[in-house]
Amino acid sequence: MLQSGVSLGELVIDVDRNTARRYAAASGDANPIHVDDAAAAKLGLPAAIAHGMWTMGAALGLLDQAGIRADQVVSTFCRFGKPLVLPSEGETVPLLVTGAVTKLADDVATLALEVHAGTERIAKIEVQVRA
Amino acid sequence: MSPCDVAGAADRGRTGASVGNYLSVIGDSLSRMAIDPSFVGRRYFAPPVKVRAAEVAEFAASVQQDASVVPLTFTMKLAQPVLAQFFADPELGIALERTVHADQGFMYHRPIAVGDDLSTELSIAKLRHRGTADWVSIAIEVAAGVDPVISIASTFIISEES
Repeated sequence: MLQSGVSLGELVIDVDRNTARRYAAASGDANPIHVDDAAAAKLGLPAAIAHGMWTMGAALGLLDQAGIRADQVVSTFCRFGKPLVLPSEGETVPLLVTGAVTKLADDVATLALEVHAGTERIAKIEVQVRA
Repeated sequence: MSPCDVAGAADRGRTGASVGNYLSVIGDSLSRMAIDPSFVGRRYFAPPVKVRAAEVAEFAASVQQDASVVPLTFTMKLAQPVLAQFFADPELGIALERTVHADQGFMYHRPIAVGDDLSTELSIAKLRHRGTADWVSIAIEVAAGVDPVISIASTFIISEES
């Protein structure tokens, strides 16, 4: 199943202001740039941004959807290329996660996930799993 | 591979180009002194905390996942006390509200289960000053007693106080 070139399908999640509020509460990450536009503006950001760790955590949901168990996962690595700027209150922006197997060697498969918000790629994730 | 190797591998790869986007977003301001490189190796420790079912469920829901397994990123919640010590260290002069995340890696030595008592130790792995920001790479070892459970590597971009 985890042959090189195999697609892992896709996952779409609607992101809104509450996404960041809920993650802030659940994770204990109190960085105000995720909930407060004024705090984000001090860093030159156009509005509050999603937590990188929310993006990574939500994107890894693709693994479960593709039938990969958590106890198979050896490592995950996420590079955050661009901030996920949150939409205005009451609006949503779609997070799209896609992925494929890029390598299978010694019973360890390497997976490459791409994360888009709207049309922009915001993150790439590499995952190694026991095949 | 250690978590530092994970971070280092990314660093040698595409990180420079991709997080350049962050720098352009963060913008330009007056330069100040970088964090003293002698802080590399500084450590912060937090005693064991128990993994609780209700916290796992709340966290899983917040990342749109099924609560039947502990999410692969849950240890960042467990690491909050040790991260708080790091961000509040007056000698470093950094601040959470000036921080964005550049990259994040986890190595899973064994799955986490509800009821585990897990300690966290953070160490500063690498410090760089680029343009108007400090790039700080840290490693966090999550352990059950002496047994390693998860190794975390994070790189943060901490912009200057304006």
